[in-house]
Amino acid sequence: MNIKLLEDLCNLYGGSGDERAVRDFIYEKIKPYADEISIDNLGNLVVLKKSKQKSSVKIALTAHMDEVSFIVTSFRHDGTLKFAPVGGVNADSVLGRRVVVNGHSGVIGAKAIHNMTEAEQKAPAKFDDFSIDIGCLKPVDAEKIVSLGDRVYFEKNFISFGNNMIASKAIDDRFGCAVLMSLMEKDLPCDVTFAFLTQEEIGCRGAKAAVLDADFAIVVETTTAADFDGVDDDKKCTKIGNGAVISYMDRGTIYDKNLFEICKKTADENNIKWQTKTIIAGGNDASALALKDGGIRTCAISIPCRYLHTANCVSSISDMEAVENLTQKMILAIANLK
Amino acid sequence: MDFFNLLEKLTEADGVSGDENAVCEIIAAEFPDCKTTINNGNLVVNLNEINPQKKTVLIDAHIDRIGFIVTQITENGFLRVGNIGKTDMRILPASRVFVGKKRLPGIICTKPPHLFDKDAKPLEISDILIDIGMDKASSEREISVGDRVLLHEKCTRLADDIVAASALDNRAGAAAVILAGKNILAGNFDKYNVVLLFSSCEEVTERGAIIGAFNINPDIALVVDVTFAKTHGENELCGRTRGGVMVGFSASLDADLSREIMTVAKKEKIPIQVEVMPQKTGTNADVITISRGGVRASTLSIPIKFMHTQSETVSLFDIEKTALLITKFCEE
Repeated sequence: MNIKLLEDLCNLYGGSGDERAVRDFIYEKIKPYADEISIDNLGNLVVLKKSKQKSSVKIALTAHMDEVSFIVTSFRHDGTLKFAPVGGVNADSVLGRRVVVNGHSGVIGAKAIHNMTEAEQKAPAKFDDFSIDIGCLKPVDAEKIVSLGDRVYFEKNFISFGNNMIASKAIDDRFGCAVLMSLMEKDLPCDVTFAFLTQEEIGCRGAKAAVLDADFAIVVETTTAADFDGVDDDKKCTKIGNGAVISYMDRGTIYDKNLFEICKKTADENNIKWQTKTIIAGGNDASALALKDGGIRTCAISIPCRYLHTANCVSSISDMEAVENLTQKMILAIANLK
Repeated sequence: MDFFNLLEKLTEADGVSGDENAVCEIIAAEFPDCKTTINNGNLVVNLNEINPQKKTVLIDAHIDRIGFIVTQITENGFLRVGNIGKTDMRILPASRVFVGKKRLPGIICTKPPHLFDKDAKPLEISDILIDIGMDKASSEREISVGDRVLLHEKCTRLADDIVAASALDNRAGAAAVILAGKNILAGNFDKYNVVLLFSSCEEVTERGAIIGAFNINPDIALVVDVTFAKTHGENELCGRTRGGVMVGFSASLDADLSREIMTVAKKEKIPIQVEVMPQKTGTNADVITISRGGVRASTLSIPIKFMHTQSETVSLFDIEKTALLITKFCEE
């Protein structure tokens, strides 16, 4: 796993519908390895890499470029900004976070805990009660540097920590982008379309729009791990350190049974650690790909990731290596299918 | 005057209550020509030699910050913690923390959507787990029970003179007192013995102020701390950011002293606001006023937003004007 590449990707700002910075970065890096590059009207970056070997199998690898973010919805009287989430961010995990608004630093704040009534303290957190302070004390000052509709991002914060672990705002799914970029540099057994997709976090819209011309798709993603104390084993979904997650079903997709079996077998044959989810949860671009163009046979290979859709997603490098490795081996396995 | 670097140095320092010595050292270095004493987590700086014929003014700012203390390492290598001070529990899920003197990074666990409970109660400290990315054996090697945990984000400039940082409560006050101390040293001050007290443990038991006030035995005390600034959701009692320091009026404070401070402010054209705290103040003034036969005290409070989160915000203007007011008071 190229950790420096992952760090660079995670530290970019690119929310749904605003993926330009990520796309431009990827475009520059992959240009030397691409045979055909297209950017469609939804911002999807679709790259064909041809194989030296002759194979009639057409495979697409996909990862999404967008991260969860926020959008400025109005100016408050005290010069702070009202905002709303873009993607599935929970209001419970944003207060106190550092953010970037149109290049300006800010913080997410609310009424001080000391001044809240007991009833207020017990009520669930709501975005409407929060504000972004960018240091302006009047709306007229804020309007000079921020516009309604400007995007708000968790500030870049990539770190390596603990035993071989990574924390960052955007592992979901810059990790997948990093895997695709690395595999593109390798010799491949068949023509592969590398699709860097947009707008996954607001309903897999990039995947729905993209033109891929593929019989098979592998979605490289992140998925929930709740593997901490106090969570029953059957509710943990996945565990950090237990390897690549091969999906059989989630809330968006029932995966191609045959591909699922091939994926497990390929992992075993190559001594790659793998696991499946213990619950039906989450979803990804497979939900759109499986319905496209008369149906693309799709599998998903993911890393387990703690605290998804927060400023600090946490994953293990060993799991990342397992996913990268298994994805490469799956291209070969699928290429040999016919 | 740009003292952002001073504020940055102060807010980047450790110093969760009961562990303030590193902060004492940083501040003592700002006063190389003064007598400085560190004990009980307090730093005492004597700006001049004590003359028994003069009254003694104590200027207090607490230097401890809220945080956690490690109580247990779990089967899976996560940390359980206890509270030090009143942390805003709403900020905890997915927050980044630093553990122990080596500042090992950690993330506070948060449950994914499939584990959400509609009837969930607000978080309590016993619910909190800290993920330091290690198994039990590694965690036990790196962490000791009793290690402090910092809720920390970096000190950053926002627009204009607004700064976001962790521990502005009360490193903002400490910065004002340091600036005032330097101003006072640079000018004429014959009237009083002036002693700065950078006190420990305000967030838990106010121990530093109790011990410091006893040892210094002042006649007058100015207690410099932070208070609530008006922002969305806050009421009209809050101060205005960049409106100047808030002079306290309270049953537990000396109203004549507060009025004297306001007179100085008016004369020197220093912007101030009034903060009314009906009974006690919730600051070190509560214990300093009843030390050794009693001390005449007032509070000078710097308005900050989002108190007790890792992202408090303050105006440099307000800190600077607080320092100026203290200086002028001591020179009068």
